[in-house]
Amino acid sequence: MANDGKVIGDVSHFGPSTWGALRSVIYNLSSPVIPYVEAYPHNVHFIHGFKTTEGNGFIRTDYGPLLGNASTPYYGPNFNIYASGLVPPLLHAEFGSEYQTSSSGMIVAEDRAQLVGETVTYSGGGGGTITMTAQAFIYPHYQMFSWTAPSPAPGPEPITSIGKLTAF
Amino acid sequence: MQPGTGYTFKASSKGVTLNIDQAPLTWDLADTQNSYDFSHPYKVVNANSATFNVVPGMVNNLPTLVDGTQGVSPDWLTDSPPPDIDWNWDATTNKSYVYLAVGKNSTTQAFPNPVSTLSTYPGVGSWDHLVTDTDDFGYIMLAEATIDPTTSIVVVSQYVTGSIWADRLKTGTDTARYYYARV
Repeated sequence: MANDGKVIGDVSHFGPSTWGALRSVIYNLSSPVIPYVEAYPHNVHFIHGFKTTEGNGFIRTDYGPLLGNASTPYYGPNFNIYASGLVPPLLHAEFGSEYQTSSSGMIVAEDRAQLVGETVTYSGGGGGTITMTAQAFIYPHYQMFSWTAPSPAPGPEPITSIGKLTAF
Repeated sequence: MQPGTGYTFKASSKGVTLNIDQAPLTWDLADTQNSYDFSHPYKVVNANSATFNVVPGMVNNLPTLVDGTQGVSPDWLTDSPPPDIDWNWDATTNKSYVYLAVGKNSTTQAFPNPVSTLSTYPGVGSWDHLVTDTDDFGYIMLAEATIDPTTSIVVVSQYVTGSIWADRLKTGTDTARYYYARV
């Protein structure tokens, strides 16, 4: 399988070259803790993020992010949550999976469908829960929700749990 | 035209005749010179009650050693004659398990470790028990054998039938998991 000039079985490039080339965990981009992943030849350590509770822990991606982003391997399937614009305590907030469009992206459509309807719990700013919708996967305006935040306005807040996924 | 090994020419007023004096060579799957059965890489062959051989194979394009000989007195599966590998039998179940043990380089983190002088370089060996993966090593069972304690006849069940590619994936603090593809 070709991917940005790399082929499955390529020994010279870092990251997986077989089954794992098209699998990933989901990074928690709202976490300030970096790095998210360390990648070496045929050896990947996903340091923290979310994995599937059922099955082998990995979601499917048709992008092969580790193969295509040697310098920024954390550029991969993810969820993020952030506030913008307004004055506390009422903030406009968005929850979304970046690098997604309405029809494609780093998480395959079948796996996205599995996540729609799941509960997302976040901390900080009073904390709370939202129910994930399909809009969370549509750029540029992801899933919006109201958020009562403390003053001063917080920075990025960690997503603490997502249904069907296990934080690690 | 000149005659060569196995064939001759005969010229006459009617033209030139090519005579094939020797049957063409055939590919002999059973290489009697090396006592190999080349039907596929990593096949357990020549098993007796004490030792066995393994047809050479590769993992991620690396040839394979006999486990335990890395950095000591390396026995490559490709050596001629092929290295005899000792069975380790479970005295109760009369079973033995042939694994390909593949480790990562603790310095470069490359997997498999490509440095043949280190113990984590890919090696084949026999264990008297089932082996569990660790963060340092992935084990894939090539074959399983049973010995009859009365007759000493060894029966081998072969599970891996070719060379392989392998990846190591680790999430958080969980033990690394290893994924293989046959090539």
